[in-house]
Amino acid sequence: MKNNNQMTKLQLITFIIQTQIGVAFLSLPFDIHKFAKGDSWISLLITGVVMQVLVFFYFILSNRFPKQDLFQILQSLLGRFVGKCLTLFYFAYFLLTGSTILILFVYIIKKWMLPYTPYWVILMLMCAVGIYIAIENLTVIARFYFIATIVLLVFIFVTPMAIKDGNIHYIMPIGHSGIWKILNGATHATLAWQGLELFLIVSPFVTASSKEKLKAVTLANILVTLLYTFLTFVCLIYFSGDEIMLMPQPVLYLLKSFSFTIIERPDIVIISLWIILVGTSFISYLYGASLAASFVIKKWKRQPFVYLTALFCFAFALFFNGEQEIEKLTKFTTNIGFIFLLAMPVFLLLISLLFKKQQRGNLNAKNY
Amino acid sequence: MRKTIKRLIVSSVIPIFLTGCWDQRLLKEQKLISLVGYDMNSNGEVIASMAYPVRKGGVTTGTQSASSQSTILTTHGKTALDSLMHADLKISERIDISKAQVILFGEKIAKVGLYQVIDHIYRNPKGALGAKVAIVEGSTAEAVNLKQEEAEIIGRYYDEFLKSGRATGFYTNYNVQSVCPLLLKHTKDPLLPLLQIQPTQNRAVTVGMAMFNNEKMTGKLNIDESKMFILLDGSKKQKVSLLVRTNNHYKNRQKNYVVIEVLGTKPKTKLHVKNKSITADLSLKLYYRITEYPKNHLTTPMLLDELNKAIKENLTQLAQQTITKMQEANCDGFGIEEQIKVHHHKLWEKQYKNTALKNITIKPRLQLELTNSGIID
Repeated sequence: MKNNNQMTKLQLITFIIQTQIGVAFLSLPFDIHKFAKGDSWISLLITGVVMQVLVFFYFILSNRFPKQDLFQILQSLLGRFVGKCLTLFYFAYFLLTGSTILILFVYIIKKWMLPYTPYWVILMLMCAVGIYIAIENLTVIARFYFIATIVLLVFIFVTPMAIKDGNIHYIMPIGHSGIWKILNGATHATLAWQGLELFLIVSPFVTASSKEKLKAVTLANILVTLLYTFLTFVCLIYFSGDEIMLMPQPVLYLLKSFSFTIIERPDIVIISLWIILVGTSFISYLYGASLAASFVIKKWKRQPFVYLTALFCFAFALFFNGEQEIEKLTKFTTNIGFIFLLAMPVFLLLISLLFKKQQRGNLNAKNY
Repeated sequence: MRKTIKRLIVSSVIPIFLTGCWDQRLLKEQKLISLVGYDMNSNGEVIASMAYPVRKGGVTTGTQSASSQSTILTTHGKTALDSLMHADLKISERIDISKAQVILFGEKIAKVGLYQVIDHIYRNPKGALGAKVAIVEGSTAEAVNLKQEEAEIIGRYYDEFLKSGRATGFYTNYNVQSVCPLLLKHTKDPLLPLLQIQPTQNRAVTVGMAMFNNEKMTGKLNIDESKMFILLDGSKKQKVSLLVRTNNHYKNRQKNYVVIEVLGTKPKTKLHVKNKSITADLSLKLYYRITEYPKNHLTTPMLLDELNKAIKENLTQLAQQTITKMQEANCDGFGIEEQIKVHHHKLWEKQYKNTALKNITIKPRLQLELTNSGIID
């Protein structure tokens, strides 16, 4: 049966990458540098390895329920009522993350590009784009993400230009901040990997064997880890330790200091491309939230929920525009993210293994 | 057909909604500053002098472009940005320094500290990070006020002036961005171009480099010392020419000198630890050619050897002199503290954190190799 809600394994890779890479990555070197100093890049590698373990957990879980998505797994493991409650929690989590993405996005745009444009205009534009794509079925979303991956290539090709002006002494001696600080930095990097949990939601729609899925997600994880590590590394050798502490978006600052003959301010161009990356993350969470909502309230289709969630994110984001509030919110979201990214899937996996529960019957993931 | 028309209407209407008028900056409402000079008066206030092009003679047609002329404005305020805000009160349009090509600093303000003056550039997303920086001996207002004829806009004049000075190896290549890490602690210290203004000739003259300790200017190097610093620091792209005195006894004074051009360098810094004190060895191998030798007749290898020896002696002396001057100014232009931090981290934390450069013995060790002496012997 050919249904139009499927994606290929290549699209799975780009889906995961695009969902993970969003707002956090512009400020990643700064956030980690607070803890791990010149060894931040090691922290990121460690986080990447930990996330790979998580990928295996996800894989085992999804392998036990090959035709079900996360919400159905919740229901078949924990029963109808608890399952639906937890689905609602997931819905709330997706809303929260979506809103945080919007808030951080507007914050950075206002800071770097459009200081005089009102909040609601930028928010509305982003929400409109989000709705426009999230309302389509998964195939369309996945295809869009695949095309949008070109943007990442730009980042990969432009940033190495900073290496020649870099000073390798800034990160030496390697390991000078000590193992605990490096590990501390690694725990704070997890926000950048948020989005991996969506694998459990889209996995039944991927037309590939479970082994191929594992390969695809592993590859996505490796690519994301390497990209993060590389960008952080370049920033660390380009800016001195004292300097990086002053700039919350070092990746942009790095690009701002270049000047080409034709493009005088490459950071503006790069921000415009970065908007696409933020957009894809936002769309993923809109999709996840609307899917969760339509799973709880079966009466409606998914589409009306997309409007609702986007509207909610829009309204929520309007209230947050102070620098300190945003910081608190980001911290809160990161902590909540730990529960839904790490704790919950592992917990589910344990239950499934303990009680030997596997997929039964024909409670398959449906087209929405 | 209908569908096409519908699409056409939609796609032509959408752009209207896409424009935002909150962040527009129209050229006709801005004065683009090409050159800013910061200085300090005796009250500790910041004086900003700026030059911006003004079109005179209205619109001209054809190939002849309207002759643009720079207008100069000088204001003062409590801080750097404050003085620019004062400038806004004086001119007909809004001031915009995001396109500045060169930023000059007076000696006085450089001695107080650079970072505080350019903080507003780092903070502004539109800030001109690519602008070149230079220090001016004397008043910057005079420097900005220069009536030179070599370039249309005064900002571009300084831009090209500094660019060529860099190419000929007078000074290091720093702009607002690349100088930033050096102004902070625990890294190299910057050396910036030092200019002097000769108002009678309507020219700026290079007089060497200004030495900094972190963000404060602490001394000056003359031209020869600057060149020596460039060589010791090991920048590869610059072709440095040096005048070397090899003899004293010729009455015809020209014959006492030789001019060499350094073609390539191989710098190597080595740190030796002995009894917990560090000696830095700056060994440098220079490949050079002779571009002028007024005495003529460089025929025998013996003569060449002798000449080589004389040049080496002379240059080593110059290097020693440069290093002593830098130590006096506490200007760590070679990044020796950074090297100690990297290679002897524990010793650095214990003893050499923020140390004065005097406490480190630095020895230059030069090796010279003649590659050719021109197309005649």
